[in-house]
Amino acid sequence: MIAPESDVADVVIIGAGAGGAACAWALTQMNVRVVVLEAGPRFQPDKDYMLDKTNWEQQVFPTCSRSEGKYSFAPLQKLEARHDSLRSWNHISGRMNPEHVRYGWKYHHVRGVGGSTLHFTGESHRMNPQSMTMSSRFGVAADWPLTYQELEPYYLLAENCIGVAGPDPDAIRPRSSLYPLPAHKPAYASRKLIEGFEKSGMSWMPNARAALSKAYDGRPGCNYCGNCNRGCPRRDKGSADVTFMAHAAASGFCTIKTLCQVINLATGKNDRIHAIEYIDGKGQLQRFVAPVFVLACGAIETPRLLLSSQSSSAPDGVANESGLVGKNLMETISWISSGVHPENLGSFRGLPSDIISWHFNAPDAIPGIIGGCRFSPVMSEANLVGPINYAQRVVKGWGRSHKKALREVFGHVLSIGAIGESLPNDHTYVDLEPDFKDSHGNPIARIHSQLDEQAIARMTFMAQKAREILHASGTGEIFEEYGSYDMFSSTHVFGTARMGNDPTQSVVDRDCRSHRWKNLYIADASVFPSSGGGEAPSLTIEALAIRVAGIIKDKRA
Amino acid sequence: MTGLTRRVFLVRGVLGLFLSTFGAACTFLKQRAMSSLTEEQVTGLSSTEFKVIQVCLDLLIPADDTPSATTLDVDIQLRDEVDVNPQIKTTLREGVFWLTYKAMERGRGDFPSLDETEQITLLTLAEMADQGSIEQLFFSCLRNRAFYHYYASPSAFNIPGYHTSPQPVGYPGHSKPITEQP
Repeated sequence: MIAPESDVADVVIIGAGAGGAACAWALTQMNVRVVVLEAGPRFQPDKDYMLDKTNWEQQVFPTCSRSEGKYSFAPLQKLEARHDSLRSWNHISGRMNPEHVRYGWKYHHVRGVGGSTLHFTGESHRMNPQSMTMSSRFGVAADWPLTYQELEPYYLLAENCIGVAGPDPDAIRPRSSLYPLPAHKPAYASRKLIEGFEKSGMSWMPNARAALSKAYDGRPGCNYCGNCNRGCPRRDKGSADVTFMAHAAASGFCTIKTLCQVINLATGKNDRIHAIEYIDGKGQLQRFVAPVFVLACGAIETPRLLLSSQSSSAPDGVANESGLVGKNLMETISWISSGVHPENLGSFRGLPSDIISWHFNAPDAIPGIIGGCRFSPVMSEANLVGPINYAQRVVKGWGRSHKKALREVFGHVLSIGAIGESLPNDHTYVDLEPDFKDSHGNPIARIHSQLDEQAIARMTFMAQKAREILHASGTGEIFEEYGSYDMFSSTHVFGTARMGNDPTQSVVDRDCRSHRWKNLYIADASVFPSSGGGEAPSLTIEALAIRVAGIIKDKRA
Repeated sequence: MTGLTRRVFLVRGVLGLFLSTFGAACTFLKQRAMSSLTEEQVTGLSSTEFKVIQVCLDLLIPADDTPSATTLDVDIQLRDEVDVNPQIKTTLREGVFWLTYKAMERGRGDFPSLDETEQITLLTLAEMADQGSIEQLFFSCLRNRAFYHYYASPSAFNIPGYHTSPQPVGYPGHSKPITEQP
């Protein structure tokens, strides 16, 4: 039985991650009634996160059957011997991928209220304006149809809601106002990497972080436990659930329905989406009619939903008139090198990625390679902050000598991570998996990925630089390295519903509205025309989403 | 040859059924050879297999200033994990079979009957075997799971400056050297 629901929302938002939550918040601030449908559960920071348990290290972020979406990988590319320096390895276990084909490990995400911000590190980056004109300047990707200056006020709104702690203004990303909170002090271990950056001739600065450097908005300051990726029980990490969504819910204008998986966008007359159909928490099929819909499911799930919402008026899926839904997928191009420093740095302490080098971030900063990258300390992201992983991965051997060595080396690890620009290519996209369905009988997303020569060249640079920085930091031999060359392991994904001015070359317009479907907006990273030189996307997603909210309100008026 | 391939391993197992008169190992070999049990059909580790695992665990993590693996119930936790993870179960079971076979080559009935030096020798052989061989997979898996369970215990690891759980105290002194950590 389908129970029609109508007239209870001015806007229905699908997905409660960075984009959905920010859009909901902005709309409710303008007294717009919002219903948010989220496929995953609501996490309770006080109960669900393990950081106060003695077995905290055994689990990264808590998962349940509803907190991750289903997807598959198409066959990935063969690996070549000439790129063996980019293979992932550990000095104890050997090659992480012993095969000669790239391995589809994981699309790292969380389904739940807060989305992937629940397990993110919490970097809060604005795009480099130079990365927004990749096509006109370098003939790659696509230009953003709006400028950094147009987005700047929305960045500010997002930063103020979250309480971003950031450094003094820099010339690359101009600001109309200072960060709401001062930057964090670098951890002692990060000071060694600062030495490494400086000896390598690289500039650095405190990283802009969605973690409070002092109490703000009823949330406490960070206590530097070093485990943002495991979920923050204190709520000092600015994940979308404790910031945007909390304020949206408190406004009285927002209803959040969890465990509700949207399975179809039902088209109506006059190029409008009439309703969405979803399976509710009890497994019942429901339908929701509303004037406006905002899709914010992320760059894998948003195209999946659009492609599978087929009808006579949308035979190729909703908003796919250009044929570009699912195309232009941009993934995370990353590299991590870890070594042991002779000094006990206590490197399990401190805010993850508390400093950053943007030295090679501009699109033309790496000689001979289009697309930049950035570097930061990643002991926490590499999961090298506790004795289990030290025992398994850092200290060779076993027996009494292993125990002794573990006690001596604990806290000595330095890990440097790099994330680089991902450029779209014809072989990297999302489509519908023909062979497997989800539990509701709907096709799941299938990820196709191929690294082109530019991506591999960029990764080669990132790896070489990471090793150089570690060496300059005084680190001894590197014991582990891994990266995107031999494994698909992506947290940041973009581009699969690209925005642009030309309806034949994009899915949504500069307002993030479908070119054809007048009441359908997209507020997640699938609209990004380019990925940036390693910037974490959450703040840009939130800024775009807040802008979308303003556009929706203006159109209603 | 530093490691047995799976095919050679199974052939020798079947031969062992007919040639061997040694107790528990023979029973195990006979059961293994007589049926094509799927992982799902095999239930838990037998007490004989479990004993081998316990010995291995205490070799991997013996007592010093901190307890041994079995003192902290790593064996029990591992057995519970094996009960719900067919992949680990198979890997450990095949490794136990390899150790038993090797013990038999040395004229003993089972691995626990060997003296500690011989046990360490066999475990080292497994550690150094070719990547992907049965014994190397067994060793890697057991080592990995042993540390996973052992170092989750607050009694296993206690050093100055480190809290056994990151919260609720955190590390407010993170910007100072560890020797100055409050």
